[in-house]
Amino acid sequence: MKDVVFYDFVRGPLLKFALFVFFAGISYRFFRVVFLGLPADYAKPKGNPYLMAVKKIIIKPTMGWTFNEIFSRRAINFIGGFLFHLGFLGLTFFVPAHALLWKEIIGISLPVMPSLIVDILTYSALGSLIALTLHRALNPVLKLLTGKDEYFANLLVALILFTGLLANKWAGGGLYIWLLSMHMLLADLLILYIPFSRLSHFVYYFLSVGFMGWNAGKRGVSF
Amino acid sequence: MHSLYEIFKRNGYTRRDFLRYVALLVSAVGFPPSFLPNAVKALESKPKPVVIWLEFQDCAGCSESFIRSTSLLPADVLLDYLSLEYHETLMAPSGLQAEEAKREAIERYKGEYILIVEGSVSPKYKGVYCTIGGKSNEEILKEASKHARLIIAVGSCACWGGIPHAEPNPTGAMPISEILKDKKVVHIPGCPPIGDVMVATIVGFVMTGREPALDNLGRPKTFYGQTIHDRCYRRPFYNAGKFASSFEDEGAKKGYCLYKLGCKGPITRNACATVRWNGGLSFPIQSGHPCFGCSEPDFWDRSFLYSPLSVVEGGFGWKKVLAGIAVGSALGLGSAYINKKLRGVK
Amino acid sequence: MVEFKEQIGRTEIEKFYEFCKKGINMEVASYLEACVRCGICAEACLFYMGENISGRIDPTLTPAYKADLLRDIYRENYTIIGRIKKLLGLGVKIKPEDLKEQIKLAFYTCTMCDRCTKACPMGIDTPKLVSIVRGALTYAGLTPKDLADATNLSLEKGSPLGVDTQTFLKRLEFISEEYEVDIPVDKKPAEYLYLPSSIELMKFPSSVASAVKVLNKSGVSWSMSTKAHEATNFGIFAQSKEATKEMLSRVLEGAKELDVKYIIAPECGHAYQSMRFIAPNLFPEEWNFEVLNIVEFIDRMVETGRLSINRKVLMEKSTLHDSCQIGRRGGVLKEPRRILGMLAEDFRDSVLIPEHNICCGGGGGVLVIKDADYYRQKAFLSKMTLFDKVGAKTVVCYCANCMLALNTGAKELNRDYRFVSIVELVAEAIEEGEE
Repeated sequence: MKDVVFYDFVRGPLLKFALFVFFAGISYRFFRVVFLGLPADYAKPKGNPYLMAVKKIIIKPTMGWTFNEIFSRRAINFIGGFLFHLGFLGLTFFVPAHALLWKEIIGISLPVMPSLIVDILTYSALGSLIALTLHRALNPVLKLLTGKDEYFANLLVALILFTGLLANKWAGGGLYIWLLSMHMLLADLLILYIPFSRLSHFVYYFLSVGFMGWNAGKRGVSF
Repeated sequence: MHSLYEIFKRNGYTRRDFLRYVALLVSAVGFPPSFLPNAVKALESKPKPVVIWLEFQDCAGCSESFIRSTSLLPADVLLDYLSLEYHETLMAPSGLQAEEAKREAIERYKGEYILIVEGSVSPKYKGVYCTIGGKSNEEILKEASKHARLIIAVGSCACWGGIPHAEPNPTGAMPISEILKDKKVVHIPGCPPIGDVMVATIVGFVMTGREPALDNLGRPKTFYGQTIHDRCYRRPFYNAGKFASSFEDEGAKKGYCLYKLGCKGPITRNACATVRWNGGLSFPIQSGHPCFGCSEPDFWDRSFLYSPLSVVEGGFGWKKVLAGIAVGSALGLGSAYINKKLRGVK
Repeated sequence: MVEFKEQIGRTEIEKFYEFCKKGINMEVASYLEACVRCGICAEACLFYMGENISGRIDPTLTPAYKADLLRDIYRENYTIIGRIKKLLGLGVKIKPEDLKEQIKLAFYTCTMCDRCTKACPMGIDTPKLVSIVRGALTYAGLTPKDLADATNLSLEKGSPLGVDTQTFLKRLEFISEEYEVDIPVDKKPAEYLYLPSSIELMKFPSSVASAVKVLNKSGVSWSMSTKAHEATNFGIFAQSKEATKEMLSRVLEGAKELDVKYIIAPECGHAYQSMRFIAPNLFPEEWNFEVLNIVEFIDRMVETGRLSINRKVLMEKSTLHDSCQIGRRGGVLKEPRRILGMLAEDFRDSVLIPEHNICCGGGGGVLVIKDADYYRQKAFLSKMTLFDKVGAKTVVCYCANCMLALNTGAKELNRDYRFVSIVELVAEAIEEGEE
């Protein structure tokens, strides 16, 4: 197969299909839950639940850090998880080549990062992903909780980061197109995979953290 | 027949000059320096190659590029050495005499001559779009290729069909490899290909007696093994996200990456960024124009020349995003409704 | 009535499944979907921590794991892939052992203390999920024996300790004689209704007496009720809606009869929780009282100047134990700290953020379940780390159930902590102030 034909396929029809499935899939998963509805709550709230819900959605990622004793036992989860999410989201949106992609998808020009920061984010995301995966495989609690999905997702994301890194760094001759196509193919697969897996947790974050904040506001606790 | 060394001598060059040029050729063809003695011996003893150059649906641009190859051999030596027994644009004879000369050359150098084909073949309606001396181009090609030692397709038209092959392809143009299915064809694509590359391929064949190492599309690996992007001197700007957004802006003046202006460097295999043009002077990107990937198959049809690469081919747009979300929400609503019905009232 | 069955058969499993299926709404579904399997909740769970302290790791104590059966049932009934799997016969197959395990996970090793919610990066409210599992088990008639007995007793007689109206009045008589206090019962008009919990009444009578003293001292018009004489609500331990409603209806009846504006919940976690946050949803029309915890009430009185605390009565180094249902899940966290600041000479908070406090290990009905004793003792170990961190031997509590659990734990493990009720301290302080 001609490499350019493959390249055109993964960035053309396949990507379009994946994007459509992604947007339809995540909104399906979101609204499937939202439209289940909620029983009315007549208890008078002690604080402002709605304000608290918004506040928690914004600050929740930093809240776990205040648990010193949990942090000390699970530093790898907190630091690794933080670095990974920072890296993955940063790279998805603000790498120059990806910014062009987003321009085409949503029509908004995103700012781009300098290449030094791209490198730092890639290495830290890849490193923390490997560390988290090892931790997942070794920790008894995580062994109980982990299924095949988690390992598959981790492998997929690691390969995407790795091929992206190679495509950026490595002048690999004619293999460059294959490498780039592979990066795109894996990314397409990831985009397709997200709505069908636990990777769609980012949409439920808004729901479940929102509810947590809502409950906190209802009960008048600050945390 | 004269060997290359003899031609050098005849044109007043010293043996030192000859050795210098051979060393240059060896490195250009991509052989290791240890091959130099063999190369010298071959070029001293082997007679000059016989070349028959056929032109079909072409613009003669490849021929123009070929005769302007200046860096590997001195111009006077080059045209003397690569004796073009038949070349419609360059030869002096015409008409029946020319056709007779070609027939004679094929007869005389059976199994020894190098056949170079420029331009795409048009077998549609029995070749009515391209006939020479009453013969269809397909017939001419088959006839000439029968006894050729080596067949080289130069230019994107001969290699992939090129511009005649582009939509809607009224003449049914096709690459020569589709006519010569049972023969091995060396492809030197480009519109036009770099002259030095053509010369180096031919001389390399003389030196070794074999065709060069080819990739899966039949291109010499030495020249088509790397993408323009890999070797582009503007690559650091690409990695740093510094792009020219128009031909007039500050970025263009500063020499930033031309990716956003539609540079096809990342997917184009050619030697432009290393060998460069006009005796190593420059190449399109260096002169401020994005590469449009002329050496890749169907380059003319892939999309507008100036639309950038990494984007979704054909575009996506917020309308489709909204359509996706609408479909998903509708499905979600339906699913939740059914689930609620099945859940029953608590 | 809450049932207890030894044998687990088909009907029980079906009932369990049915209840789990019905219990799912938007909030529950988003919690179930949001879990990213990070396992951080394990480190927040006092049972898991306790096992860790004694050198063992029991991964099944992870809060996220407690909801896994519920999650499977959710998937099967609310997602397309799950439905397809079910059609293909790859659905959830619940065996009797699985339900036994669920009993252990939901009733023995969870006090619904909400600490995991605060640590969870996705904010998943595991107590909410566990309460559905508990409800389903109760619906299937699989409530642990001790809890079922206590619940049934309180349905029958009005109190889990078997305190009926006669015993209640006798006990009040005893308290008023013993501690020399006047206790108004069924007095009209009254603005405030005070409900003692039977744990206090039978085991910590001084606590009731102190509350009475504080109420009398503050000069509000208040009363106790013969109808609404029990604050505890074992219905919400078993998550039986009927039982909860029945017990709350008694409170409602008593409060309506006295026509009060405020209901004062005693030092009891679930009493406050049920009256403050659950009752308004069970009686949306009729429940128009403001429910205060006694600690909240004291704080309010101090603020408005009706009570004044001028003396320090706790001289030694002391720390505070927060009741989860009043504190973390009830929002009464600043009040006890403010009051204790006035009462104690050397008060050291054991946590930086009040919401981080660890549960006593006996909440959520775990205390009454004898089979859960092993886990409760482990939980006490993790609670102890906080006391030892500040080095205090005196611990101030504001929940009788916590006090009972902590006392039991300390006795079982031979620790010399002293647990005191904050209301008693307040009563002491205001009394001494008089002299």
